[in-house]
Amino acid sequence: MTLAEAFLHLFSLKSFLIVVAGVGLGVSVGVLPGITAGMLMALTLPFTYHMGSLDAISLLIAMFIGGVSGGLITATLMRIPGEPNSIMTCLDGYQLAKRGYPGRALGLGNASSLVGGILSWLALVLVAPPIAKAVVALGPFESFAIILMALILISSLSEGSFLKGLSAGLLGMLISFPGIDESSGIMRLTFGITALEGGVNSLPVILGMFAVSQVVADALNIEEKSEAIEASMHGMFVSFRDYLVHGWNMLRSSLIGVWIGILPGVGSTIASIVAYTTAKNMSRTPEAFGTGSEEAIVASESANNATTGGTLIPLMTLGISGGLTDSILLGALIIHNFQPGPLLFRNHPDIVNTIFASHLVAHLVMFVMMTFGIALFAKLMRLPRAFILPMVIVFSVLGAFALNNRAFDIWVMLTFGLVGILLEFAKVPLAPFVVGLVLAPVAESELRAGLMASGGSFMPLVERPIALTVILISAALFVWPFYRDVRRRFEPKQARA
Amino acid sequence: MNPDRLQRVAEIGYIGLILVIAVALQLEARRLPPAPYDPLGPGSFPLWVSYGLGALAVAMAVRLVLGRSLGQASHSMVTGLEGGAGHTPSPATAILLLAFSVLYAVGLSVRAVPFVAATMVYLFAGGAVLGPLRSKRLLGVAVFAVVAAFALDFLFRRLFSLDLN
Repeated sequence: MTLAEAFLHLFSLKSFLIVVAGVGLGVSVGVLPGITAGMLMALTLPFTYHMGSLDAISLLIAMFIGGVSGGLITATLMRIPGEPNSIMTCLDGYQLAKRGYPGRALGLGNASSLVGGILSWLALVLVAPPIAKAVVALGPFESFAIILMALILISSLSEGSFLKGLSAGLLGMLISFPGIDESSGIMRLTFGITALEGGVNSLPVILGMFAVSQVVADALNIEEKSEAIEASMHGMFVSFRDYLVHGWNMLRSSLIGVWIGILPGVGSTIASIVAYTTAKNMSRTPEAFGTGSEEAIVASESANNATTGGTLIPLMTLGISGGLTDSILLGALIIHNFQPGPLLFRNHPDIVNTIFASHLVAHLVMFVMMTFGIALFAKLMRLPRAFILPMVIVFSVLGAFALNNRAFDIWVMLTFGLVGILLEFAKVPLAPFVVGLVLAPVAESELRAGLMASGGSFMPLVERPIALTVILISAALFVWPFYRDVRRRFEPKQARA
Repeated sequence: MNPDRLQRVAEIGYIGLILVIAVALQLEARRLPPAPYDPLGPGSFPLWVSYGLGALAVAMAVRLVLGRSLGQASHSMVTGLEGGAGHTPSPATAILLLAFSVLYAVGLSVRAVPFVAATMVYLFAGGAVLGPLRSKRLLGVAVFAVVAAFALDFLFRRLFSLDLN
């Protein structure tokens, strides 16, 4: 299937309705504070077994795009980030809406989301295939080194505590070990528990850590009240002149978003913050930021949507996920028998082109849906949480159960709900945990395949130039947080001297 | 307990937990036999992870003993657990909802209660604790619980053929 055929497939009635439903659901959960796109995708994944693979992946991509975009509405009308990545939009979107221009704030945000999405689609379509071609020559040692680097990168870059991040990554890896060892067929690490012989599936773990934990957190804050500004269509339509005025900002912020999206574990929230800060530093009116600046809304919304294409590049070409939503997409591809990585492009061009086409079509659908349905989506903000939160638990329970029709998965989900809460209390970052959980089996099988080929020698890790380069970068990333820590401690002493 | 102290207690608990996990993993992994044709075998990777966890636990413990901070996640993936500004957190509500969720899971996993009944009761109980106990509101929650339970039953049992009972 070529890219053109993938577009044609998506415009068949059934596939198009799936994309529309996915975007609609994604935007809806984006609007609801506390319910994230990742949660929606995790809840939906078990039920995609009943769908064709191409439709299932299109649905998840559409949810991903819708979720990233929907946070704009709550951020602008309630000053609450519906999705964490719309946190910067809260600052200026709400202020502009409060001054009497809610339609203008939403329209600019929506247009910027579309531009960010289209530019990131271009990056995805232009950059991913050549990377995949180059990467296909890599052997298991290089793949292992790249996964190792991703784990260290996510621990050192994305979060505040390197030691906690790394330990969370290792804990995540640990969860993937029990069950039959695929290389040797030997049962391992079941601790005598029969249910563990089937292994621990990553989906109930993810559902527990993010859906159950978040429901508990939302129940904790059930008394929270927010005043919402009425949504209006006035100003929703952005003129060509607006695109010209904000064009450079949109382009710059989108490029920031694409680049940050490619880096594992950094994510759309950081992209939004970096683009906002850059726009402020380069603005002629930086003092307007925080008071309803149009530039600020454009920067934040272009960047967070631009991460969507960037994120898909390492996921599709290297089989590496950097956060929750892409871990779920990675899991979805594996569940539907597509191994993400360079061979995906050679063996399954149909799925590659469906992802490409879905990404663009979902952005266009999102733009139209947000433009004309903004008032309807805004009403979702008023849905009582007393209805939503127990429903999320019901969907989580059913989602975990539907995976293998076994009650054990429900208990895994609830247990990891508690684990997620405890880790959050200890301020341990959860992103490395998920990445460790998803990538550990790949890392282990690559290393073992490499060692079998090399007769048990680890030397190829330092003899092969790409593997060595990646190992050196990993070592630098590992040492960097300690070096930074030591330097910070000595800086005041030098200043005093 | 103030938030800093609470975090410190949670961190000590986390380090202790990691150490226990590292030791348990070490003991279990050492028992695994080597695999023919595979230089690493099934136990090596878990062993390395246990060494890593042990080393990190010791490093974090040393930092705490020296009075240094372990840092914290720069952004949370579960928002609101620390409570928000301008309102009183309701831990009792959160605990009750969690308890109901566990009971619901027990009911479904031992298959003691039919799916529709269990879901109806859970949605009503969960919805009831998440707001004031006024009769008009409770009536709305009850109607929602009944409609949603039957809708979910139709969706998952009939359409998705899930074996729920």
